[in-house]
Amino acid sequence: MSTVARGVKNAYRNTVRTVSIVLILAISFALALVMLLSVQAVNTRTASVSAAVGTTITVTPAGSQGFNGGGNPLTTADITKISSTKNVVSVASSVSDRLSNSSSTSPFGGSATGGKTNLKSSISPGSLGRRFGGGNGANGGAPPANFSLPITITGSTQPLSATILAAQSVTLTSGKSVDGSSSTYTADIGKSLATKNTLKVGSTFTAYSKTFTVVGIFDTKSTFSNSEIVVPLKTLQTLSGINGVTTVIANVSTINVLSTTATSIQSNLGTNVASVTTGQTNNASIISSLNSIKTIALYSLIGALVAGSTILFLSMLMIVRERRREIGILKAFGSSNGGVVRLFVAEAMTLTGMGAAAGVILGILLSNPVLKVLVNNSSTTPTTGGFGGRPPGGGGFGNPVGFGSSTLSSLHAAVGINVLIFGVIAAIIIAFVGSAIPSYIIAKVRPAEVLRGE
Amino acid sequence: MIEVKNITKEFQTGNSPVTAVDDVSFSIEDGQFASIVGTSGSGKSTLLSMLGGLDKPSSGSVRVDDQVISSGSDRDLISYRRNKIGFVFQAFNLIPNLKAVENVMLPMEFAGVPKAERRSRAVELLDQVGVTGEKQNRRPSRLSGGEQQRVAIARALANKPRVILADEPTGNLDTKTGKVIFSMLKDLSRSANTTVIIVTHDMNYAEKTDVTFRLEDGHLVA
Repeated sequence: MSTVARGVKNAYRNTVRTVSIVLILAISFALALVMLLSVQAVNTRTASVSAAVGTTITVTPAGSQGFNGGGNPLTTADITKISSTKNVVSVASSVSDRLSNSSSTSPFGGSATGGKTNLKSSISPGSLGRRFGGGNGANGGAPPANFSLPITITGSTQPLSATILAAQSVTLTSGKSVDGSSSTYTADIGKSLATKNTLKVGSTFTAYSKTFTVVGIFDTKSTFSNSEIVVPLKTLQTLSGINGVTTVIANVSTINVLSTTATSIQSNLGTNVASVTTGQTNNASIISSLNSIKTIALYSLIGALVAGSTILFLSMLMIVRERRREIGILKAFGSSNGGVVRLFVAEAMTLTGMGAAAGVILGILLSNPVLKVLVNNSSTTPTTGGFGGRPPGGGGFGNPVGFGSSTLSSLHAAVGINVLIFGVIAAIIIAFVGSAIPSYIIAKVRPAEVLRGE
Repeated sequence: MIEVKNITKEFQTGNSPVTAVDDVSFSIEDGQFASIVGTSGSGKSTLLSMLGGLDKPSSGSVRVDDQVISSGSDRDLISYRRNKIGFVFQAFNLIPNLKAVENVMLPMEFAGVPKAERRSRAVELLDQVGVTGEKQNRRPSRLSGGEQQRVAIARALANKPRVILADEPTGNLDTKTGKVIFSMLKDLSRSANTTVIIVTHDMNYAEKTDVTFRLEDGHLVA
């Protein structure tokens, strides 16, 4: 029987003690694992929220809110001020208008210069749409026979920008993007609108009494922005008669300067001219809640590991002291100090291994329930969607694409191989340190000292 | 040959030093059966510890064959105990969770003897001391005192030592069993030319050894 085999065998010498130590270690490991998984889940979610916040700043006319009116368009001078602000690396400007169906009588209007199109919106009006569209009764009665919801048309220097379309992503499914700097009558149209009106790349439609050619069809995975038209900025400015832009998206170099740059832009333009927002502003509470969960989890993780190490250290100290005479006997028959240490390390490894195995199973079972408890106790999340929706000046129908209360409630802990590797390494370190130190101290005694007592 | 020259061992008890062994010198030839007698506290077990390399003298020297063990390093003493010495204790000192045969295999494991060889030699030794059959696979708690001491003697013989040091080997045994164990140790010195030194306070046993050393208050008196 080798030293290691004897060490393993020694772990089972006292059943009650073995079960007790393994149980305590299992709870400690389970808690550490749960907290590690929580930290990882929070880190992942924080990264995704930060990524969604991005490095963009949205500037809209002060006092405006979508198509509800108010405010004056931002001018070329305003855009110059924005683009010259420190840390701003690029700007994209856009203006939005709404087109009504040329055969429809809708109170949603169109522009003063007559925003009409032969296209029909792909969005179903519903009872609210019928009500606002002129239907009778509280929930809207029968709408006008030719009623169609207005279609948002956006002119932009960056036509397929996800931020301008208030989408998380934009994919060109066919054709190409329009040239944002041109003045041509070309358009990219949303996938739903194309399907509704049987349009393909190369098809034509009319707007503002002009004939536009479809050059690309895009998909944003959003019902609302998939029903939009995107054209070059100058084209829309000319046709709509809007002298300026309704939204400027400024890109900054890093997320770290997002807040300070937004403040600078606001200061440069003045609060009476522009409203400046970032995704960061809206997500501050979510990030704060995530950080608070992470802090609790980190402290608990450290506490669990320290507790596990201490329990094992004290247990092994007790075991080693109890077996002082046995150590003396082993040394009397020629065991080296290293042999004694190996014996107790093997015993501690066995106890820790059993505790870790039980702890991993317990940890996997408990990780998600505990994470939910942490979320519930730490969350100050608003009850409605956090950020998302069309930039304030960009359009009438907001499009909730961002994060909200679901950001925290959807946190999910998943066990990866790196977590298990961490667990194994932690268990080995805890077992080694917890057993090697006390056994080495005892192993150094002279055998006569511990055998003299008989 | 064992040669002890002027060894002294002092302990610190509280603030006052206690001299357990005081300027003791003697020698024992190879294959001799020797005894050390004395009353309780006379220093005989301490002397035995120093002969076995379990402890170092405060002064003086202990030479076993060509090796001066009194000034050896801890590593040297471990090697000395492993290869040249076999211990038999009054309280047997078997490892409780190992079977009899595993207890006998233990010193051979430390000496690096291959496992198969360890087991066959352990079985042979146990047969030799009269622990046979399924008793060899019993744990110490399931053996009588006499059987445990036989296992302890087999363990002491495991690495074919030059010297067996037995500290009150009959102290925990009834008279009849004590005699059997004593005879076993005596036969050992005769048949294998192994030097056997026993510590005892029983003069009946001491008288049957080749040479007897009497200790009184740490001094050798005869």
